[in-house]
Amino acid sequence: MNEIENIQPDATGSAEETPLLEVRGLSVVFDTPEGSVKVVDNVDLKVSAGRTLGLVGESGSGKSVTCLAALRLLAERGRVTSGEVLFEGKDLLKASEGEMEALRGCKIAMIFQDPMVSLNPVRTIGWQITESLHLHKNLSKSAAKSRTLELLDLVGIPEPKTRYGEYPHQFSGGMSQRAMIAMAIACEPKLLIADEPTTALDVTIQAQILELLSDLKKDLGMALILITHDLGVIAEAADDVAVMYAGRIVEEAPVLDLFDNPLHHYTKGLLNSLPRVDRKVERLSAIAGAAPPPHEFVEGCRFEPRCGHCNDNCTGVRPEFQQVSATRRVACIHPVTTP
Amino acid sequence: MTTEQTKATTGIKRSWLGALLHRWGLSGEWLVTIALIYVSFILFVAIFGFLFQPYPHTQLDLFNQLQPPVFMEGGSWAHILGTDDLGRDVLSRLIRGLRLSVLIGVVGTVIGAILGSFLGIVAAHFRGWVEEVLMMLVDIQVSLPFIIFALAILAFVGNNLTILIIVVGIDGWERYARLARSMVLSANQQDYVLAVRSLGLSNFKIYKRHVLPNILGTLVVQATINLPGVILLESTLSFLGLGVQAPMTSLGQILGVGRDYLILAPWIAVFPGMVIFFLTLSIAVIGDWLRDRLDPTLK
Repeated sequence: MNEIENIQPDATGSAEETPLLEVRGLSVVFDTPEGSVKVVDNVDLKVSAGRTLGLVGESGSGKSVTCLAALRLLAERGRVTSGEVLFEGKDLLKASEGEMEALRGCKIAMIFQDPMVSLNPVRTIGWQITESLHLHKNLSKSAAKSRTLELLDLVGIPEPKTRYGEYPHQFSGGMSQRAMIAMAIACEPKLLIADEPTTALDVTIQAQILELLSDLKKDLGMALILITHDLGVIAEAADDVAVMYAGRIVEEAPVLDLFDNPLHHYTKGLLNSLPRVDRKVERLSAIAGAAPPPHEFVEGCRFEPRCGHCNDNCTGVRPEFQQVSATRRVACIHPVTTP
Repeated sequence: MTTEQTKATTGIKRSWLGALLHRWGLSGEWLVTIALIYVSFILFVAIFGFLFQPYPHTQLDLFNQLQPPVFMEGGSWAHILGTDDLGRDVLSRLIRGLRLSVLIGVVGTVIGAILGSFLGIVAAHFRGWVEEVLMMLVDIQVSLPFIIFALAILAFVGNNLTILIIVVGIDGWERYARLARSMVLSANQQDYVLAVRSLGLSNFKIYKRHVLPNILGTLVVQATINLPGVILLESTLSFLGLGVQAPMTSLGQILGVGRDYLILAPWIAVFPGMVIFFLTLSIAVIGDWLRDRLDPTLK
């Protein structure tokens, strides 16, 4: 994990400024034939301009649903039951659909997991990027085209002029993801949400895409929310981390602190399950059991059934956040004590 | 195909016809080429045929009833394809009838395609009870023998060209509706729809600019499959005497009149029959070819 060293330790000072996006007490319920299940439970998130928030958790922990709910992009079955999503001080959950359409792609953009299916197969790459330009900016045809070529160049697609007229199936996975990024940043959004942007790509391409995202973040001064289940990606690209488990945030910390000194037993378990290059590990330890599906969530601490450090106090009561320092907090009654 | 390959293939000296075929992706597709030529010819005749029509289609020649075509014994150049029982020129009637048949076929297909696709998209968009009701209508339409339904409407509501076109147009709407609904449902599950929604496109724009272009190819192919059916339905109704009424004429109506003289004067029925047969066959061949052409992922 020597990537950690690349990150400037400027973790302090972020808490005071007003965040660009603030999610407060967001809960999302999915209505299923078997009844409603709460997949996101009282989630708080903050991200400030120019910073990268890593949202990490296992599949089904509600990372993507949280972000989709914040952008009001949930499928019909999903319902936000409480909370507010403040973007530049405005509650997105109360905004009209028209206001949301004007906001999406313009101030907040999103990129998705599988770039190969996130592009419309019957339209050329150029057409699709130009579309988001036409939508939010009043550009002439030729201006939009030259801007698109610029964008393709910016995201590192070689021969933009040839690539402009090509179809998504002529692009490789990494190139498609670059095109997706070009579409998302076309209007220079203030916040980019990247939903597992590297999961479908192979490792060498992953690094390139992460580097591209960090560069763009720096150049455009965007805030970035990076959703991932890969702690390696977090170490490489995030400034702050929020760990999600079973629909709740369990720990929030600046990235270095989290890797040095995890406080929640779940975070610790995740870190222990990673292969290390800096110390000798005989055998990787896995967290026993599996992440529960939403209808099997327990009362109280949701990690309790898999946690080796719990006692009777843990059952039945939802653990409140303990503010450990200005930038750290953890939702656990018996947090990991430093050895 | 890379640019180098394209240069190499176009570098080969070929006739202008070959080059033209190549440009339209028709090299080696002889059946499709013939079908396209035939359909173009039929369209040309349907639109401009009246300029070459030897006689008005209603003009009687009572001295030359049931005269055989020119290549049969007793035929004459005055009536190249012979005359019918009233001495009317078969070629003239064919040209005139073709015009109406093509009109009914094309307009009917377009009506069915637009109506069906629209209802299918509506069902897929709103889901819930809207979908239930529309799909129930589809099931009713499927379980109804359409020809009886059409006969009932034409017999009760009366018979004019507009009603006939609407009736043959309604036939087949359920196929478009089912197709459009299922394709929109699956398209809505695609990540690219979520992706463009996250870029701020409204529902209407997403349907217009992203979903429709994706399903249009399939709908067009469905239309080419349906078009022969519509032409045949018109022919059937006219054959049964409930379609096009004299003095107007269509291929099916000529066929229906010729039925009575099938032994004595087969040419009356055979020529319109052949035109219908080759027309429907050609459209089917073209539809098949279009299906491959309209899918950009197969290029």
